[in-house]
Amino acid sequence: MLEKQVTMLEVIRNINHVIIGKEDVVVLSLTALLAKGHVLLEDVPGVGKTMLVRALAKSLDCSFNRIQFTPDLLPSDVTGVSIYHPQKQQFEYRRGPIVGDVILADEINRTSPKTQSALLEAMEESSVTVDGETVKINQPFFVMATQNPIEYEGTYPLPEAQLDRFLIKLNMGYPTADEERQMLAKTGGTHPIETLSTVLDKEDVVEMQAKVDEVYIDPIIQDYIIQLVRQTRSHPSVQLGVSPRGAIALMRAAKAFAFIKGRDYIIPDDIIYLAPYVLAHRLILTHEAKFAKETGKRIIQQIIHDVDVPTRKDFH
Amino acid sequence: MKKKMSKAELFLTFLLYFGGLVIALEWFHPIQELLQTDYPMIFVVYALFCFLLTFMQTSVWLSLSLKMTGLLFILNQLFMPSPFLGANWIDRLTEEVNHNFIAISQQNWYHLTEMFQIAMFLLLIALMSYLLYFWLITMKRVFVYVILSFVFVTVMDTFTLYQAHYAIIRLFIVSLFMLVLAHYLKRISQHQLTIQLNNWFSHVIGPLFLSLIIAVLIGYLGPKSEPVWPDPVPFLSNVAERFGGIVNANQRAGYGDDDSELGGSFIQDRTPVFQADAPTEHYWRVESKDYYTGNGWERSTELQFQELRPGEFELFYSYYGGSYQEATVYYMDGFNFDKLVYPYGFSEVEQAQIHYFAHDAVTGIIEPRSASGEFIKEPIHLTYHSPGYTEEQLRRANGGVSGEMRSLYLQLPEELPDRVTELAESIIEGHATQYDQALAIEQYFSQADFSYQTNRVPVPATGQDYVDQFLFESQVGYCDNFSTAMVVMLRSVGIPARWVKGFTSGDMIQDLSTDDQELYRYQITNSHAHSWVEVYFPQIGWVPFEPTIGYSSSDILDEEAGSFESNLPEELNVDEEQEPNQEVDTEEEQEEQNSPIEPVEQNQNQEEQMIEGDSEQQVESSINLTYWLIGFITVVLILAIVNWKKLLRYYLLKRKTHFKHANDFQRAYWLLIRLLYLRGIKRGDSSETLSDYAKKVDQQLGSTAMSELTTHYHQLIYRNDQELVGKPAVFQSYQKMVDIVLA
Repeated sequence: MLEKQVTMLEVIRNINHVIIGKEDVVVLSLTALLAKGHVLLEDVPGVGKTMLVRALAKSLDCSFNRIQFTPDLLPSDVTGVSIYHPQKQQFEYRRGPIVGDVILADEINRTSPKTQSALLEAMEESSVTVDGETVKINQPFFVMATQNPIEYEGTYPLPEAQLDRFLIKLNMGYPTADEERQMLAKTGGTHPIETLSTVLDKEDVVEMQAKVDEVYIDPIIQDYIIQLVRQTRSHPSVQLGVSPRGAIALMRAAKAFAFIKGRDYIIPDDIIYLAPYVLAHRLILTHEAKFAKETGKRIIQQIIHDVDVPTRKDFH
Repeated sequence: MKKKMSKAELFLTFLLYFGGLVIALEWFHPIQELLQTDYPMIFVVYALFCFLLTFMQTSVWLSLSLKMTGLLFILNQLFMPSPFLGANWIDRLTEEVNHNFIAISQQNWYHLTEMFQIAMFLLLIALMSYLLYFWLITMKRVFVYVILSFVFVTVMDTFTLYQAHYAIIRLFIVSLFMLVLAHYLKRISQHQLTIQLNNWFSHVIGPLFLSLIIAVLIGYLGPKSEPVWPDPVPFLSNVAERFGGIVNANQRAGYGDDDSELGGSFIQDRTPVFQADAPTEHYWRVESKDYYTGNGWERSTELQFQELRPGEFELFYSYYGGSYQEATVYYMDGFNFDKLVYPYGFSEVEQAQIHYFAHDAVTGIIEPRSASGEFIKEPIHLTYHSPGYTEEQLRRANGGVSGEMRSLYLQLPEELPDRVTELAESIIEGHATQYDQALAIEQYFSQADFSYQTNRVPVPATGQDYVDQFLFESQVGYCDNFSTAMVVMLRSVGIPARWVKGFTSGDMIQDLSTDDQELYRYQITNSHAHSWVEVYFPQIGWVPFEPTIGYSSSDILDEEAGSFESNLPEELNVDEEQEPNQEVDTEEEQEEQNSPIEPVEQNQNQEEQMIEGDSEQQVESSINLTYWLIGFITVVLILAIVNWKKLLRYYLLKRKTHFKHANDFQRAYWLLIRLLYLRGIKRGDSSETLSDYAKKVDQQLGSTAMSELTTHYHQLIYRNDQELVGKPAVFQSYQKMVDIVLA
């Protein structure tokens, strides 16, 4: 347990080496990875999304595929196609880029809904089905999808209901002036990724994922999650609250997060930290709230503030 | 004071504490008025002593024992004749304590002795020195204390005779000063600054004084509006009366004309009224009143003055025929008193300037007037006789009382409770003659459990009879209570009596005796104002009686005739038995009467008496037990107050042995949080996580102990790791935290 945690910290440190000042994002990405979930990054281009994913893949010794979503991308370009093999006289499945370890799905809102849904389905099921044939995608399987902020032109916004396929949604945001200065200083002849070392291998990651499942969650914490989730459903600014899937997602994320923090049990702090990242994008706000520029994150924070943290327990 | 204070800071702290003392002294003034003590300086000195001791922060035991020694020393000097810590000293003290604890346990506040009150007050001062040190110096909180002081002083001003006119201004100045100082000191310790001595005056003290002066001037000179609310006193005293409280501003002071509302405490007014040169001590009569209203005395008739020339004086009381005496009365300036004070048996008066005397026959008021009808404040020479009747004559005095006498001197209010009459009847039972009956009622007060005191005397509630309250409820009071009660009881059994006002013999201030004549100069002050009883005996006239405990008058009987009988109930008993025409008591009654004297019988009857609950031994032992119990509790309390930190620590760590169960750890952890709350580190709200709170605590206390402990607690409740509880590491971090919190 402790040993793995040390290596996890190493991974984080390793990635921080190239991604400057984004420790939160790194930790959250790793949380999603260990929880067998996926991340949606919503950001303007050029803040280092690709770099983050590549650094992650390199550190964990995983394969890295990148799918650049364009308006003319077809579902089969993601999942792969069956091609007739003349010698074998039969169709043979050729893997698409989605079948891999760490996948960067860049600018997914630029492609057609059909292709989007192919991606989301693969993420959800951890498998692809082509011509009736299902191909399992092995762990580690981690998709980091990025999308440009909705205001950009020429985008197909992801249906809100689809968003809850992502365990975590986050923003990288612009670096601070200081961080940017560091970046410029580091930029030299070689690509920074080249200098990164590998810290773990794929088997380690799979093993860790199994360990994450064993992280203990106390009934009082479960109750806490349930209370938070239920509050989203009755909040006046929310049209559609968090689904049970959201509650499960929060618990899984919390387990992974606790694991990264070196604990084998979840504390309320984990939930409070993660809830805005895990729950906010699952909310569908009322029109009034949207008009008032209310955001899901703020609502979640409000709810956290309203719900009592479990601090006592009945021992018998 | 853990960290070393700079000299300037120490000085400012001292100033702050001194301000606390000054305000505390403002509390003393009204309290002294309430207690009516004559030793104001002693309180101030003792307060200074206590405050200084506390400020020096010597060891708790040393300062505590010094303070207690000081307290006992003062009590000894004031109240005890025996030398400090002498042989009888402890006994006397024990007796005092016993008496007062009984009074407290029975809630008879008016039975508390002055010594006890003063002891309590001194104790309060000692405690206050600690409390103020904590409030002002440790916590640097001034505001609550200041507000309380204002409230206290204004309430005292409203409801008592105390005038807080300047006290308010003084309070305002001192408290403003203290508030600024406390704030300044707080800031300094918060930001760990040091006071720069060079700009200290121009930056701190200067502006402070300037703004103080301006504020006071504005406040003092500025226009003040009239009170918006009506005076609350009548309303509140009305309410208080309804609840039977003692609270009342109605206090009597010396000789007054209005006796229609008796009751309440008696203020000692030492203004001299007159001086008299007389050979013996005797009472000085002024007037009598005849109409009892249930609340006090009034005159049933208007004053009808007749003019009497000095030469026209006959014997004012014909039954006086004893030896001839002379006295001279000198009226004092500075006290407005326009009536003649005269001894019983008074017959002649000499004063060149007196043109005539205005004399009212019913009340006996005599006013010496000049030709222009004004009161004359010149020395008056009086001639009088000592009483010439004997006890035998009084016993034999018999005969009818005229109708006029009846209507005047047997008058009683209709609302007089029956139990007063019943009591009077039971007292005179077995006494045949009017004289013996009167004597029995006079003696009743000293036989029964009555006591004399001038303060904390209750005022009758609305509709309550003054005499009834005194006889059956309070049983404490001064001359008015005793004399009125006696008159009312006499009247209720058909003996004509009236209520007399005057002065006692006063204090002897000079011995003017010569070889062949005894003569003393007495000074009579307003506090010597007195009231007593006159009983009418047919053929003899009005004979004075003195029911008030602690007073005796030689006027009542000629010495040879047996005034020695006065206050000895046993002798009275003997008298009764000797009385020839008295009915012989039945044996049973005799036994009852004798029982307190004969211990053997008492033992035999013990069982019975135990049931009745009046066995003296039993009372004694239960008193002793209460006394010891209260003493023990007091000692324990003092120890607890002195060692509260150690005790708390012990209590908190005692749970070590109970740390077996997860609940114990949980409870201990939350107890700690409550303690931290008391230390001012509050958990934000119930949505703040424990780890955030622990970080906050550690940051403020400069430690990591709370986070450590919280991790353990987390493991307990979020990981359900109940085996962890017994581990020494958990207890160690708990202990560490307890020590930090109590530091």
